[in-house]
Amino acid sequence: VSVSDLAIVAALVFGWGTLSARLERLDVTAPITFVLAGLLLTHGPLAFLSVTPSRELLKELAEFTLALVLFSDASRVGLHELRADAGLYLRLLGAALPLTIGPR
Amino acid sequence: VKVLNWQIVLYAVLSLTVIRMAPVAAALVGTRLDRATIALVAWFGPRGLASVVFCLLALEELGSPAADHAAAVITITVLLSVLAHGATADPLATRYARHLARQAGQHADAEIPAEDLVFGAGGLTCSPGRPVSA
Repeated sequence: VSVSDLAIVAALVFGWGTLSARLERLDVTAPITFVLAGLLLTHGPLAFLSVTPSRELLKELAEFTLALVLFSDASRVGLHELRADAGLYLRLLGAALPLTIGPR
Repeated sequence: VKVLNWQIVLYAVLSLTVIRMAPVAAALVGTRLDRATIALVAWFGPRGLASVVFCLLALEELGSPAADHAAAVITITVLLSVLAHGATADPLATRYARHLARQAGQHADAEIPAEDLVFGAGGLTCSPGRPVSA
């Protein structure tokens, strides 16, 4: 990861910070923006990013980010609400999820 | 992953729709949730980081040729999910909020004792919890 790569990513985050309110009103979310930016900056004529992360690094990064996201989501769920809707979650996790995954 | 054929795209679309929505709808049969709520719960299963982690795990454990097909499907599914769930989150949340407000109005009508319902009997003509237009 070079300095220019870090600068580009920092600029992206800064750009999103300044424009997010306006873009989100147009239903352009952070995931849409950053996936698109990632595609444009690594493929085609605008491929200014020179990072080629190894699969191991990518996995570590994805796992770490997932842990952060899940933790921040979970910390916002009140225990009280969780208990009130427990039956619902039991149905979704106990019935809907196995049905979706299906028998293998 | 460079193979992109219509079967991969079709499976990605199906996995975002019927493959998730039908089981969720089936699992919620018999709850007191109305159709709009079930539809919302069924639709909003965004595929993102968790799928990416599973994809990387599959590539790591199974190796490149074996996991390539799954990786292609997961990639397309996540990309579609980012677009579809992102673009519909706000409009559908707004619609659902309006739906809830309408329903709350109906419930308020229904809670008024019958003898007090001299005017505004609209709440009695449709069963509570089932909006006229969902």
